[in-house]
Amino acid sequence: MTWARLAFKLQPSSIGFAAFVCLGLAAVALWLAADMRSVLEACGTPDEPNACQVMYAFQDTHMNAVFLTQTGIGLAMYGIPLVLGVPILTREIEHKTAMIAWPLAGSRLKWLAWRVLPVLVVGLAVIGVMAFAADQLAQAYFPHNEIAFDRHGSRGISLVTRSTLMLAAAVLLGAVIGKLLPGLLIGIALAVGISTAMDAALPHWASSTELTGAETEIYGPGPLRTGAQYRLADGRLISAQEGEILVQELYEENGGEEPDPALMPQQVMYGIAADRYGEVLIRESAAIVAVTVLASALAVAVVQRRRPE
Amino acid sequence: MLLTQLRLLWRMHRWEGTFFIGGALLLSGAMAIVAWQLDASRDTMVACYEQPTDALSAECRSAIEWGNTLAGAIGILGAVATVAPFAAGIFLGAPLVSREIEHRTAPLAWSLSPSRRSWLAWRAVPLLVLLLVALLVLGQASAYLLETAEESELGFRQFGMFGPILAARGLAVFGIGLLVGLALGRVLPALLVTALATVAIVGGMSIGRDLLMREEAVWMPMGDQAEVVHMVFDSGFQSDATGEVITWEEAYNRFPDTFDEMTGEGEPPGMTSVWKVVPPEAFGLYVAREIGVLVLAFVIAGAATLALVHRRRPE
Repeated sequence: MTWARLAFKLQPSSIGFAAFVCLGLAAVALWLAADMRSVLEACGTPDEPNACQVMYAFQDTHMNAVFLTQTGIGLAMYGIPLVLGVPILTREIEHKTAMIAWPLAGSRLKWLAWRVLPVLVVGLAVIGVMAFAADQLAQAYFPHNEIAFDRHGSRGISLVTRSTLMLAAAVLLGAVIGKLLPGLLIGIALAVGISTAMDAALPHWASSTELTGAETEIYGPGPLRTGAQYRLADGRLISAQEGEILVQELYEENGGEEPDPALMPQQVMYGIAADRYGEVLIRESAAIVAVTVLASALAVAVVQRRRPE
Repeated sequence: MLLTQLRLLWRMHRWEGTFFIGGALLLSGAMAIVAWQLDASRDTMVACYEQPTDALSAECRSAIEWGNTLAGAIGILGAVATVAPFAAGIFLGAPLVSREIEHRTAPLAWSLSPSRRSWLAWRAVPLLVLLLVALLVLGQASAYLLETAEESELGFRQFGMFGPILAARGLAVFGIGLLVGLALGRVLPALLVTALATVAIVGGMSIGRDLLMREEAVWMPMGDQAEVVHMVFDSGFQSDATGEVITWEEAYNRFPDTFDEMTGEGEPPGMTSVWKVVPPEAFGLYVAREIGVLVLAFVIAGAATLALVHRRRPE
């Protein structure tokens, strides 16, 4: 309680905003998930809804609300660490209180730990609740499938690790820049960079293979699809674009009718299968934790050496 | 005197000014370049797709790849252009006064200035003019890009992504940020509260627009309008003789033989398939209304700011 009170007293607006946004989004996500699951209670009865059968069970009824909530969570997972992390040091440097606080504290490291740890604990608690709710929402939206890579990065553990990295990066940014507004503005660009880098790195945490069975579908949750090709009747592989042009040509040659299936090229999907999600998550989390530790160490180094003005 | 004031203002807001006003102009430039490239590569792409697959030249492969890259860029640039007015309004409006109050420079500035209102006008108007010009340019660049990409007239599907509405959004959020900043007197809380107010405004305007569209939707024949109408609120069949509209279910029950058993397609005799939609011609009216509401929000926030700045205690 004392920690929570201390953290709140140090940054009332940031923590109040973080709690309001994260818990608000979590409440909406959990309510939507419960609402979708309640629809499925009628499955197996004479009045069985369509949602019991189809993959996109809630596309017609809940899609807009789910999309808006997931967009909000996707923005909050970077925005909240930014408003929590950047002001920790910028406020003290900008208001020149660091000049007094640092000599009085004895150790700058200890001073930094007292400033960052309560915010980190409170921040992770509210972000954790939001991550759990986002996970429940994603699972409820695809009730008949293993979601695996669907919404990866904006739910569950992957959301928490990315937000923690963003928080460490925001603290570092605040220490380097020393001014709130420039820190926040550069932080926005940094958040875009981190998000883009994480998404770009995702297919590289495990090797891509040819997908089989239901995973060869172009859409739907489950595997991480990384590319597509077409296989000709003689076994040769051609690019997706060439394949699509060839299919179009075959239809044109056949006067718009369906061509002989033996002549049609078969689509081949590549990616990481859904059952390898755990492996990818562990590798990615380990890498993010390592980068977070590095960013934190850099923040400590900057605070140790920085002139307090 | 004027130049000194402007130089001082720029020095105070150079970070957010460069980021948002410079960013909006850079974004406009990027949009114009993508639109120009899209237009220039279109004929080549069409010619490439007409070639037999086996003879697809290296130039064609590269042109198709470039076309895909440009298509991907349209989505990203469009999304940034939609968000930019709100972000610019928040980051330029909220800290404008709150920073001076938080850093305690406001009491000195207020005592030196002939009146607090003129001080506020000197702080806000030049920045606001720059913001408006940048967002108007962005709105035009966005319109050019979307028109080039869609190859058709823009309408409800691109609502809020182009034109002067971007500047109106920036204007309203700037005004609200200014008021919140003056009331709270601290930068971070002002930014956060303005961000929440912006979310409420966006949500409220969106819900209001949807309700209005439902209210004003009319029955129109399906067909040529398919690509320009945005939301279909209902569908059915309209009697050519009486104008009466019946639902698809009623039509299936009353005229079962006119529908294909496999595809469900068909049309009862003497009836036309209709959609309940807002006519595309009403798009301009909706944009004008929304701009009106946003300008009104700015005027109200501006008036409240002028009233408050006169009374506020300088700490």
